Amino acid sequence: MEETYIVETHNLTKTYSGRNVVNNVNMHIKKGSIYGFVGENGSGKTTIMRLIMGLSIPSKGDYSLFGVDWKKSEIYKIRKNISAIVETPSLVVSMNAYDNLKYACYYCGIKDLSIIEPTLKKVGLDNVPKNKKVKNFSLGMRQRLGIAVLLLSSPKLLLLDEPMNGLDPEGIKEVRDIIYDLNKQGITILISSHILSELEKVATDWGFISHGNLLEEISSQELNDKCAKSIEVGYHDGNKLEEAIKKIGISNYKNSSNSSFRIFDDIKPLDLLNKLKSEGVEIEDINTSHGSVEEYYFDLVRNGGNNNE
Amino acid sequence: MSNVLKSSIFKLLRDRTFHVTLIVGGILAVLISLIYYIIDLSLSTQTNGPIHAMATGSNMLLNSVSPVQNFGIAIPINLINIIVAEFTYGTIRNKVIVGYRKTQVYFGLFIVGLIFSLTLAFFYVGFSVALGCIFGGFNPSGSYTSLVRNLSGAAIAEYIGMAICVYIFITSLALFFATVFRHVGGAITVNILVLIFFMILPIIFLATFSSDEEVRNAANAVKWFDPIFYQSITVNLALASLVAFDQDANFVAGIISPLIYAAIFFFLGMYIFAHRDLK
Repeated sequence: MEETYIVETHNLTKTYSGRNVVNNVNMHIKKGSIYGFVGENGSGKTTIMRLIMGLSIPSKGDYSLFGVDWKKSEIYKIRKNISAIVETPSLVVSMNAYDNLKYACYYCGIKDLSIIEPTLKKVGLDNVPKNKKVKNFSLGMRQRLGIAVLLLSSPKLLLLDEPMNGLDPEGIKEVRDIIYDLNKQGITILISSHILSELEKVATDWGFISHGNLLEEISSQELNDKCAKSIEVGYHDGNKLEEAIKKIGISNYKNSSNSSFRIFDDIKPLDLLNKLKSEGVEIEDINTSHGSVEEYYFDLVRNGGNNNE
Repeated sequence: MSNVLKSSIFKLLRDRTFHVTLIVGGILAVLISLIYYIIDLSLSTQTNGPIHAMATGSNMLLNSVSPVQNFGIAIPINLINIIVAEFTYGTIRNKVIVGYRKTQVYFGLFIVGLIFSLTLAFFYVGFSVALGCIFGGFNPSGSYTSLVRNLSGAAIAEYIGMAICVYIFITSLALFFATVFRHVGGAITVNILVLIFFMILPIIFLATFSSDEEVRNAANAVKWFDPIFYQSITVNLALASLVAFDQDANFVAGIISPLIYAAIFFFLGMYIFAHRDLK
């Protein structure tokens, strides 16, 4: 069955002063996914997001939103299903939180203003004094208000560029929970963040970008498999274990400590466990040792987009 | 489109710059009328009876309605501040993200700019005229305006009509430079330079030509190219009594010229806005 893509780009390119900051990017965001977008500063993440949002015009290539080409006039109708935060939330700093949401209601065409209070409550800003202007908000409060603006319009696609910037651990968790909840409601989310450990907790799909080139798109499942770099097997009798390892055809292993071996061959932990048991080896414990997304990304950049070797 | 306008008007009414400019306008009207009143008082001491030359409703009307004199200058400056803030804080991009065409957003800014300009102008003019009337009546015999201008009801209506057209031009110009520069300093500087250029254009003609006939011909030509010709203080002071204008032709030129300039800057600004990336 053909995959439904909410966002699809075809050789998307953006050139500034003769330099391709986004270079022939072919990106695919599946319906209902949380697409973790990872890249170094200046890699082109924000530019791609801006292109998708209609803030920038592609120099070359195309993209479609909900299956509609960006050049078609229906795209303006389609964009009503999109909300976004780019770098910092776009707020009217001279107004308070309530008025900012009221302002957003007006331009989103929302007539029922009674949704403002519950939305403020949802992001934990319901107790902020009414006379406190956004210019006096902390960065974290601004991020929360930015998310509240997003929630108003019941979008189908959310584009979040560094939404956890400046948030304290509690705030990060709240944002993560909101993202998770929204995704459960069927909202597709494209999110970039430097806090990869947080992204790992929510992303269902990943896109890795460097110097304007999309290096790889991969599902979380595939990424987990690829990141599961080794299996660590604890032993009572090291010699017996090593003999068994050789016997079952494992070639890439090493005695990592006085009590465990690390297996680097492509074998599932359960298969390995069964095989070792059948050889009569007594095993203390068995763990998969994961590489981080960060390591994976750096390896990907080093290998020019190929982490299969 | 109505949603864009509704949101922009809501934002404008909450904008501190709008309220501050309104207060400044009020203070300026009081100060200017007081200064004129003091001038009239000092003139009265030199004559036998009271003099109402400056502090009159009609004089305050002609002085305050001009978009390029005193408070009129403050309007585009503050308008640029408000528009540039939309770019600085990124609030303008929210509307593009949720599906408004950039042309709609630009048109919305223009309408809000007009509301800003005309509200402030009408407030300032109305308040100034009221103060002038309190001090010296509307247009008493012997007042400055009764000497140099025809102040029939139709003439006043025409003058106000021309001033509204100039406000449309000034709004379009301020929006254009705010959109092109997206920076307060640059936009205000260039905006003022352009206005000064149009203000000194009649002086250039006065300096270039020596005979009344030559000046008259030059003025009749330049009034079609200078959108603020009739609001320029140089015209009021130097040419008004010198040049025998054809009232109807003046009115047409005073309407057409600023509207053409307004349309040029509006469509040029809209084109640039639609084709440039938003940060």
